[in-house]
Amino acid sequence: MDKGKMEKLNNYHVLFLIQNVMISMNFIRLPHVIHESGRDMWLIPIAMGVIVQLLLIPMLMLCGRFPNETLFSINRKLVGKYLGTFINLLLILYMVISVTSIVDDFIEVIQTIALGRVNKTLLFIPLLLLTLYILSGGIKTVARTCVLAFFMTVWMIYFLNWTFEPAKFTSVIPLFEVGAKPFFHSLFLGFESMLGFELVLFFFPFIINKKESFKYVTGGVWLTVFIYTLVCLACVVYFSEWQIGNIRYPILSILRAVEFSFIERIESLGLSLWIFLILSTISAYLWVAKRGITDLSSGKSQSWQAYLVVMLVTIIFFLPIDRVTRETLYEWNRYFAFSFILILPTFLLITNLFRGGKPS
Amino acid sequence: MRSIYEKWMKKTLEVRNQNDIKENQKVDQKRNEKITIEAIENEFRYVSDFIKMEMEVNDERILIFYLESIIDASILQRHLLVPLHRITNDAILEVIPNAESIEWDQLSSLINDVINGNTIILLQNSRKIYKVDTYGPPERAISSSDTETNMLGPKDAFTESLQTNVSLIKRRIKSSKLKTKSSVIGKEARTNVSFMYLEDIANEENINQVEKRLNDIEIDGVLSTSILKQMIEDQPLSLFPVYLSTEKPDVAMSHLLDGRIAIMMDNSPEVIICPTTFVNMFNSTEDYYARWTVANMIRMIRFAGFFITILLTSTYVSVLTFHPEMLPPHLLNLLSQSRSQVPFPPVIEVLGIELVIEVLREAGARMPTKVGSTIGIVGGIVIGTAAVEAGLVSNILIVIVAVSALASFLPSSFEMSSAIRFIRYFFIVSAGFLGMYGQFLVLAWLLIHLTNMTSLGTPYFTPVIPRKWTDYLKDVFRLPYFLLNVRTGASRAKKFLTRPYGDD
Repeated sequence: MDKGKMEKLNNYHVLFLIQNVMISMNFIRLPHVIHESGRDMWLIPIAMGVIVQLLLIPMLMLCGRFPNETLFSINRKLVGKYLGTFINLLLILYMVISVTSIVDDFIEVIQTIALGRVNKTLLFIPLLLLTLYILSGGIKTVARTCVLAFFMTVWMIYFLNWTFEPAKFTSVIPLFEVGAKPFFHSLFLGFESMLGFELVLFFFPFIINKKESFKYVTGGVWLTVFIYTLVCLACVVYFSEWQIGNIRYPILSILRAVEFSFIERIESLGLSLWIFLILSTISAYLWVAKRGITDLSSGKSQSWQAYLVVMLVTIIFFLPIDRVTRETLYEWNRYFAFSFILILPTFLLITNLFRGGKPS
Repeated sequence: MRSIYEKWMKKTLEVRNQNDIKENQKVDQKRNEKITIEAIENEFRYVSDFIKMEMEVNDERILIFYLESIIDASILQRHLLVPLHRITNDAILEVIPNAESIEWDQLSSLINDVINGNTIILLQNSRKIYKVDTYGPPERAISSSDTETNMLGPKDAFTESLQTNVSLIKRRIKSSKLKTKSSVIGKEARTNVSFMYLEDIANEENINQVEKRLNDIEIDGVLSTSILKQMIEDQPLSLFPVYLSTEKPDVAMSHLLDGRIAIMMDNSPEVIICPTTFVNMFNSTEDYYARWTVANMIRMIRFAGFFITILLTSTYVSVLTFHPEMLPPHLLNLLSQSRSQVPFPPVIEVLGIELVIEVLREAGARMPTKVGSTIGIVGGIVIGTAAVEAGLVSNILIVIVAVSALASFLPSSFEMSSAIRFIRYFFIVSAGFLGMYGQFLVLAWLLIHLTNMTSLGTPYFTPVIPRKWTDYLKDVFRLPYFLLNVRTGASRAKKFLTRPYGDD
């Protein structure tokens, strides 16, 4: 139907793209990562939501000024050809490393929890092949994967029932007992699980209804915040403080509590369903990376670009470096993301205003 | 992949292709040749059913040509031979009003007419040629369908004759808006193909698209609509059938009224409906004949059956191979007891039994009917009892495989049920290698594949990819009839409502 048209994403695509790109591996660890904040843990997603909301304003203002261009071409336009290309290369590298870190993390968890005997390579290759298949369909297929991922996994919220049942809700009343410093520290640590919303800078030109897009992007962000808050609440009422500090994957432990007469210990099932969330995130990131290479090379989308980004992920994934270096790489990648989403849109917006650019 | 194959084809077949083009040019030269008796006889040399009759009436030498095997002898006798004897001078139209005149330089069209069952009358003295349509090959009578059976509703089914099929539709929809466009497909076979649509409802784009795709087909002959269907698909490599084939006129009617297009072909009792969606393959018109409560229940069972058939046996494999902790102790005990004798890993066990079921099905389909029922009994006893007693398979697996085999036959479309059975093997093998991770990878691939597919440009997975929210009320659920007044979103009909709202 919409072959040849640039604008392909409906409103609900935008909402689910934002929402599902944000939820990936980090979510599985979130309550553990922010455990320093103690019983006020469930306030952190809300605080993060507010920050994201604030960050979205310059982003979408910038997008609104260049409605038909991705961040890659905006970069080159506003900061010059060479510096712009350099930033674009960094961005592509960021996308690729993000994907590698997510896949790495996911495969590690799968090996730990469900498939201890299976080789890492055997887990990696089909996942990336499937991503390649999604990439061949373009941004619309990525968006559809996101919608699928949402509806395939959202029913798992029902499993929180088992944690809320024995709970006493008096323990969730915020008392601010840990003080400001741990709170902000865990806010900083936890913010990685909000990453993903920045992709709106890249798929904005593909949105059909650009005027209303802010509403749906916001909707996506707050849907994520809602799910995060719900899970954090469940963790606060279900686990003791010691447990949260020491259980690496609290969500899997929550799933472990679920018991039916015909099935129990469903964390393998939950983790396997997580594939949908992983796929939606990594295919979106890789689509952006592919878009970046398209922008660098000819401006025409070709399939070798998808092969190239997947190749890059594979190379970084199998790079013979030790665990510590790898973790450092991922950490620096995260810091790059933080600085990128904080600085770049605002900087570009100011440059544009300063140069007297008008919204086109 | 495809481009490499095409390059290879081009390289290897280039010489032959050139030869063929030369041959075709020779045939083309023949087009405007003069008609002579020798030329006609030459063309039909060694065609044993070609009949040439000579007679002399009132000083006029008359020659008659026809192909004996495809004309109706009684028509020839009553409407041609008997009146011809009354002929005076050359006024043939007075005695045979439906005769059509042919020019003398149209040899190829004359040959074409003979092949299509016309009888040629050649008046030698007055040098005139006429043709009369005497086409009437033996046909199968209209009977009920063997492959699509139903309890309620009309029982008649399409036959191999295009004319009969068109009439079966025309007598259901008596409207001048019901258009039939015809063309001929196949350079050697020259089969008639028609497509029907309701002009005031069907979408123009769809009609043009169908016409274009049919005209683009270049082939020597098409055996059946099942092949024609594969030539006009959007994604020829997909696992799923993108167009519905039906043998039942009432199904075709319901889709025509919904604004879709029905393609039919001579020699083929199946009609192609396009565009079709994934859920259409599961639904049957019997859902509308039955009460809405029952119909809803049956539909839910069919959709559940889809997931059961693709996931049940593979879950058995993945749980027993990788995740035994998922089962409660009681159930695990039961399973391990039944498997205690079995010497194979679960994936081999399941693949073996699934293949046996497949062999039974195929053997049953190919065997003569009288033997077919025996095979069922033999298969049931040998596999059901003996294999378990011998300790080759666990008896719980037999139950699971039987349930999933039955569930795979729930869709109303046979092609869909074959496709589902095929996909099941992906799930089983991936479960054997990667457990639940593998299963869900394949499930993700399956769903993404389905969302990517289109049928005549319309998303194939339609109510899941929203077109109109009312699709859920018609295609997925089935509302009571007084509430059903919309057409589906997939057909993109010009008129959305089947009747107006409210009291007026």
